[in-house]
Amino acid sequence: MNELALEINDLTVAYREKPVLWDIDLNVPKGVMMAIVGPNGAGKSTLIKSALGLVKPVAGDVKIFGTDYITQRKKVAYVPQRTSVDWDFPTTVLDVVMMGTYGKLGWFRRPGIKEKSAALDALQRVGMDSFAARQISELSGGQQQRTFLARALVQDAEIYFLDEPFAGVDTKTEKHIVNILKELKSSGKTIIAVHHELMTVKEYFDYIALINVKLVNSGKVSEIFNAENIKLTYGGHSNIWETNKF
Amino acid sequence: MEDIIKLLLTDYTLRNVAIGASILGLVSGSLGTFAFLRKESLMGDVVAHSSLLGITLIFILTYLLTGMGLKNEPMLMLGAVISGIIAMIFVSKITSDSRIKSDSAMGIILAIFFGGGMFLLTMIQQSNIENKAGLSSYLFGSAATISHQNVWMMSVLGFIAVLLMFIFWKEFKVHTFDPDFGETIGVNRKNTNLLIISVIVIAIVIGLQAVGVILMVALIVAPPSAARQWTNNLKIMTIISAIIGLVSGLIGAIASSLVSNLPTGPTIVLVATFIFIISVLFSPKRGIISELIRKYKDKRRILISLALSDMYYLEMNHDDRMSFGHSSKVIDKMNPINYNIQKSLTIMKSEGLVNEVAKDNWKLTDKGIDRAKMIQQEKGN
Repeated sequence: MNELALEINDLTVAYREKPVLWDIDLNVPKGVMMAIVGPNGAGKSTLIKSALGLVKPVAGDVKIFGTDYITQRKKVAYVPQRTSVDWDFPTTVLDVVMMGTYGKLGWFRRPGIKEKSAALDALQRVGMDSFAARQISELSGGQQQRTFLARALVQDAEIYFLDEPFAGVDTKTEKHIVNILKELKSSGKTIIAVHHELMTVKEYFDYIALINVKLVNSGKVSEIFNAENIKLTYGGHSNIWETNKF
Repeated sequence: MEDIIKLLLTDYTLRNVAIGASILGLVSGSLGTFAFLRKESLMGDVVAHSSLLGITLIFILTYLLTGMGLKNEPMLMLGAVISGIIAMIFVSKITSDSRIKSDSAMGIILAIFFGGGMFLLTMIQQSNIENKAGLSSYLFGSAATISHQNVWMMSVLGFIAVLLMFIFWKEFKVHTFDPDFGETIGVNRKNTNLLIISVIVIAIVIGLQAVGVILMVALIVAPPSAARQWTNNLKIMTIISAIIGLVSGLIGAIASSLVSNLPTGPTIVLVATFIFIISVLFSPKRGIISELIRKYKDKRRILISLALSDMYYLEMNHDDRMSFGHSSKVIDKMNPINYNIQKSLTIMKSEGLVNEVAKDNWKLTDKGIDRAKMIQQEKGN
């Protein structure tokens, strides 16, 4: 089998008494693009956050490229939910993207010319180069998302975690983001994204993890993304199931 | 003016007060920026009030050990720093480990620590410990008691706080903007949080002697809130906030020395809040007045464009460009949207977009037609 980018064993996460994730086992091979799919409150974001060490699990462990997150930190990029920050923060698009270079700089060192040009390159890739000096409060939802993606690109990571990268962005931006993610994939990077829209799973992703507190199934989209598994995940209440698209 | 400078150079007390007040303004202004952006300005209030417990505890402790009360000693400041930090750690713990929200947690901790401090302060006042008089000045502040030694102490502490902010600038920034992302790139949430809290506590404690525990929060809140009105850049915001703090301190110190019976602490606070009010009202981008003007202009533009489009439509379709105009009633009927047609026409006339060719008979001017065409283009039809 291929080298594993992410390996989750017996992961259980609970907020107070309520389990959010229950005994999850998930392997993600290197170089795939995986969608994490499930209903609201299924623990999709929590799964990503526990993989990144942002949420402390009750039990289980997470390995990235075979070892702890801490030792692999520089190989990991994270795109949080767009709405998780205050966009009225006094700073510019370029400055936010530059934050992607902080991890490799380490403490004390300041970003210089090299970091700035890396940030500008990333902005160009997401089609935001003309927005570099723009105040972030003036951005639309799609532009905010692309700024966050540029910040992750600057990290030049091996594995990318994205929390709902398509939430509240227009179709054109969505396609643009997908193309960038596919480019990353074709250069051997691993992409794991929380995804909401079942209709586009087949088009965008090659791997999928269906979760609803427990892991329902995971694997290749072509093999496990079927009506039966969707019904198991959504409890028969999925629109896509009712409209009989499968 | 010359007199003031001469006085500053020669008068020992005034010089100490002026330098001390400037330093405390500068430091609380710059560190206050982060309290403001973390939406934890109230934290300044908790820290300031809570420090009273540390101050009185250290006072009693040293009395029990040495048989004498401390007076204006660095030890009291240390007590204030420690109890301020402990109070904030309690607030964080309560917020993260229970269902109590941070505003309630802050309220509870403030009440316990300040209540405890007041309790001990009253006990000390009723005792016959030496030097007890100096303690009550921490409540409302007493700038006149600032000695040369105090100024040194304030400078050293302030320098450390600002230096830490400078060294950890990018960590402070990324943690304040996006703590989760920060954590994933190695800016540890817990440690950075503790560090930021600590430097803010230092900034507050520096001001306690001059401004007092009750009013000190104003110097953490007002300068950054005012500074935010003028800039969208974190660096510049911090610098403006520091300058506002410094200017407030300096003006407050000088004013209170020139006018008799003017208390220094409250004067400093009033200067800072005055600058804040000016900023909230008059800032060009975020100010209340410019916002009102913007709204007024928007409304005016909409009134004009509604009437203009309707008139353009009428004139184009009736092919009566050369003849008479239309009455306001007809124009009004064109559009289901209910707006004040008379007002629109008056505004348009004043801008030379329409002519009143006869009584209540309106016709577009050439300028009006051009503008109407532009509006049609913007609408995309």
